[in-house]
Amino acid sequence: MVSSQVLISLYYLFEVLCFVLVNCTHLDKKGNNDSDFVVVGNIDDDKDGCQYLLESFAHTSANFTFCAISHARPITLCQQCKDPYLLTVGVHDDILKLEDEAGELCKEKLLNLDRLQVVEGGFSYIKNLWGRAECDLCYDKGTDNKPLELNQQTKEILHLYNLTQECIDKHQNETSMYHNDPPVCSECKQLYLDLNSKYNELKDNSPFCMDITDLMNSTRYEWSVTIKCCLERQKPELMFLLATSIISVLPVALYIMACSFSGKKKQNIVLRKRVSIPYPNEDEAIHKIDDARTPLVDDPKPESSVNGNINAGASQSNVSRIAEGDQ
Amino acid sequence: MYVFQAKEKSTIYDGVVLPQLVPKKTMAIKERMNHANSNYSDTEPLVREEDPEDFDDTNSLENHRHSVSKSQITESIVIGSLNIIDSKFESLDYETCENSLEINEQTSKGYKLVVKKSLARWFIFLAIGVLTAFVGIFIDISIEELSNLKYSVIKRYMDDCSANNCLYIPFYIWTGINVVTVIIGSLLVTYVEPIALGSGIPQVKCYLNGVKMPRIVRIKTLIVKTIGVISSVVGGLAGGKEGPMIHAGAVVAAGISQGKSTTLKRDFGVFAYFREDHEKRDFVSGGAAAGVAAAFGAPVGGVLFSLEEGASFWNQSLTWRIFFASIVSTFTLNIVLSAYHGHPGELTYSGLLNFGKFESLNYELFELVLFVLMGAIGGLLGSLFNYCNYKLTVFRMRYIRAKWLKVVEAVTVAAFSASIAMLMIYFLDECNPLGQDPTKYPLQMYCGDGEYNTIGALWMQVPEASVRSLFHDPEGSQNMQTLFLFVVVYYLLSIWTYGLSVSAGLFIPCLLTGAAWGRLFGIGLESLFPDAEWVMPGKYALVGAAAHLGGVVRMTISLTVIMIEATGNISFGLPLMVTLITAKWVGDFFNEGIYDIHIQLSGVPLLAWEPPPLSSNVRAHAFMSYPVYTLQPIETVGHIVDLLKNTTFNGFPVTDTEHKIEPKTGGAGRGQSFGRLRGLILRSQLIVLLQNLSVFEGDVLSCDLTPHLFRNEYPRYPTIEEVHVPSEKSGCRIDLRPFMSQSPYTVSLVASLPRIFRLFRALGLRHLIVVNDYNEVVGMVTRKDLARYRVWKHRGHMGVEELRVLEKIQG
Repeated sequence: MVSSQVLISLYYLFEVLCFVLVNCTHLDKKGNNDSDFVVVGNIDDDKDGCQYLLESFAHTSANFTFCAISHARPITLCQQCKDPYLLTVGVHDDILKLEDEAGELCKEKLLNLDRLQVVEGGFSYIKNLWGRAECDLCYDKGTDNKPLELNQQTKEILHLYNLTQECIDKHQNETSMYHNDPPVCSECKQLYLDLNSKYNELKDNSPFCMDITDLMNSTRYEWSVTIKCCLERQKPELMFLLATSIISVLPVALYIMACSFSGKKKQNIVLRKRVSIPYPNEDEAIHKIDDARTPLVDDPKPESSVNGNINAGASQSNVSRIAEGDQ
Repeated sequence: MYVFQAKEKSTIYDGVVLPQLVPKKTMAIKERMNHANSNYSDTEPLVREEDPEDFDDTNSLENHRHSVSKSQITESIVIGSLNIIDSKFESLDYETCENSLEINEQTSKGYKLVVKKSLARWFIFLAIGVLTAFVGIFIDISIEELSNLKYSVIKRYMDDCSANNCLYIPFYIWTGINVVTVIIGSLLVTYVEPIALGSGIPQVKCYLNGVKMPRIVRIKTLIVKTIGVISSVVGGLAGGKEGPMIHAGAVVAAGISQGKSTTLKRDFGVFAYFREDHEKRDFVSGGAAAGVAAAFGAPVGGVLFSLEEGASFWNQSLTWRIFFASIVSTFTLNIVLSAYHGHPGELTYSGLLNFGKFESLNYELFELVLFVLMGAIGGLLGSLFNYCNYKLTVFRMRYIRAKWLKVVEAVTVAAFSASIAMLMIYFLDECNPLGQDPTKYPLQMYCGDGEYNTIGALWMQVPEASVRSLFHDPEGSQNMQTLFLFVVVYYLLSIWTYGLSVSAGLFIPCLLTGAAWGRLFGIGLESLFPDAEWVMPGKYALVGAAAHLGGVVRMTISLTVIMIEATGNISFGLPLMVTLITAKWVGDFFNEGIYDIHIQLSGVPLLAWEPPPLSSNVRAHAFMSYPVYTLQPIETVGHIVDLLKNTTFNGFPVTDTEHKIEPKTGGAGRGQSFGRLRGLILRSQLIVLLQNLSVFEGDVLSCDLTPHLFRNEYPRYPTIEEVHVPSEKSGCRIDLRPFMSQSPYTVSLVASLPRIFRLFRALGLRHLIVVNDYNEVVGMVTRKDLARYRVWKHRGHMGVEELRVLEKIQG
């Protein structure tokens, strides 16, 4: 029991050391940018294992958030915040896996206890941000499927980009007197085009992370809008306009031709035969139809239906009625 | 006689609609004079003949022939009129024949056959669902792959050429691809199977209504339809694949259930007991439902579509089976497409038409007013669409008749679609930053690097994907002028495209136009209320799409449910319903739905839901067909052959003429009797009898034929010309009594129009014999006699018009 506790404490000490070390090296590397990471609060060594984990999770996630937001424009999130991201994921993994001195899983002490779900909420935000930026696309994966270092194609693009940017920076000063197509355009055009075509070529095979996409977008924007390098692209495409106008006239010509060359086709109407008895009004008509059937029978044959015989007697008066009606 | 003629003349030219027996005072709805006159303006009376027929000598066949072929034609009209019925359309025999052969068979087979049949039904509906889904999958994947290829090629050349002054190259490529693909589809549709033209919904609707649409459910039609729809969508026409899916489902259903195919010349010998119109109709309605279900991912919508179009023949167990087929179809499609798109096991791709997932579709109550307004706009635009398309269709019927001309027209439209798209991309220089690649094929054109042409984004994808982008693109993806121009162009293009000799549906172009103006509406609201949270252009695009589609097709319940299911949001059902109702009402104020217009133009005798109002005083004798051609119970072969050759009728009452009560008074026309009714025999049965003359023996021919013989020929019986009747047999006599239907439906001479109409509609009758008090045949009511009275209600008035029957064109 005691040994496991010691083990956990040692482990965390190591982890935090690593964390600080990474940050320090990072700070050293950046040098001029010392506000890159701030340490939010101090980790209290007295806390037990799980509480300790919780606090380190708070720190790592705070660091990641800080990093992500400070690299929001231009987006360099994937390149700059890989380490805080990995740390956060690591601590979260530990929370899921490790147990405290009492042999109780930290997961059960920290997660799923209330409906606020602070830890999981914070973690899913980080996961989600990383995922939406598709940062994994820019990294070679290590054995445990975690991003190791920038992959070859990303490096290539970054290299080309640096060349282009250097060139632009170098010639930028000469531009002020020109409105369009300053010398910087001709000087750096080849580099810019190389970058562009390389990007287009690589993009189709395997997409890039948000960093590179944004890098390209902003470079292109800078090239065409800020430095005004490729204006006046629109040209009078005479051949094209001619072709489209011919095509556009075609239907009209077709319809006029069709209209003038084909005669009208007629179809015949069939009049259906009707029993049409021109009665002046409806009531009378119905009566007459009712009556008209029986008078047809002058002398019903004996084998015709019983019905006929019954009606035959009554038909005498009907005959007279129909005679009146006809007059 | 002369009086009769004059009367007939006035009937037509006054636009008086009911037969002469209707007194003038009941015509309270007669303010339709102007309407009627405008309808008749196309008519040109050419020939007027005296009717030489004396009704009394009906026994002479010479006289019959004379009367059928000549004397009834008194005038002709130029084609392209709404108020006609074409004689070439025939009814389906939904009523099962009940002769002694069938009765004997039924009793001998017993319950075993009943159980077998009901099991087979379930199996067939399962197969319908699965196969329909696979047709849908085939169409979907082909269109997706081919159009990806097309647009990636065009994009490559566009990007190269917009910088190098060679825009005509991508233009030629785009036009070339369009023309070549459309030519394939159009040639197939025009020369191989013309019934595959258009969306197929009107044809399926007519079929379910009970009209025999020749060749509608053949496998050849399915193949032409499938290739045709792929070619027209890939060819960049303003058309969709949803309507054709419904037709495809119907064909699949008919094909499976019959167990044989005329196209393939194979009889698989299964399901022979389903070879009759009645059973086939049930399967076809299931197939249509499965088609809708696959097309929109809307199983309930599919069932309701079948209900809406074929509702008069409906029962609970059939509904349940149809729903089964719909569900099977939806989920088969879903599983396969999900696997195809790389998510096997997930059910992500429901339906060919996918509206995508809306993040939120919340609405405030007061927005319903806006939805009503949008519904009204949809109704107006829809009725304008229908009017323009109607005029265009009439023009096409009159002048674009040659088959090659139809193909040329389709090709022209395809080329024009490409050039208008290119011109818009060329002239409208609207750029948006690329961001995270919002479209698959962003065109740069004259935008700066890192930007894309917004109008190019709408054109460089299949219309269905454009609908999705209008629903889901973030705010500010399109600006107002661009969108407005797009609406105008696409609206006109879709009017122009529908009715071309290609197979393409109407749903997608309408949804796209509607989504575009709906989004425009949303953007407008956004600029009016910049801070309002409820303004979401995507939401208004959805409502606009529904309104526009509703305004054009005027379907009610099924369209609403389809839209709700495709959106996947039940709580948005109310706005959709409100919009669709308004669109339908506003549209109906001006004209009919587009499908109905096309059905009317082709002269299909479609029976409405309800009999014409105020028609109870019209009695059977006023509209029944007359005279009736009858056969005797024991009839000579020669007479039967003559009768079949000289008439076009399909049912002949069998009568005892020896008991006929000869009219002594009254003279012509007074319910003249054709003998006492004994039964009804169909043309198809007579043909089969004549084919099998060799098995008969003796002087009076009578023999036991099995019902199988009658089913084998179904559904295409040979014509009388194709049947060889040996001359030595023509003097023989056949006993028709075992073959005829012994108790056909009859009505009395004084039965009213609504009563007969309901009987006809509910039972799906083909022949209704009119008898007098002595059970003597005096007339016959057929579908065309009832479909002649068509109710119209527009611009606040309503009335009934009488349609005219066109002569059947031979050959």
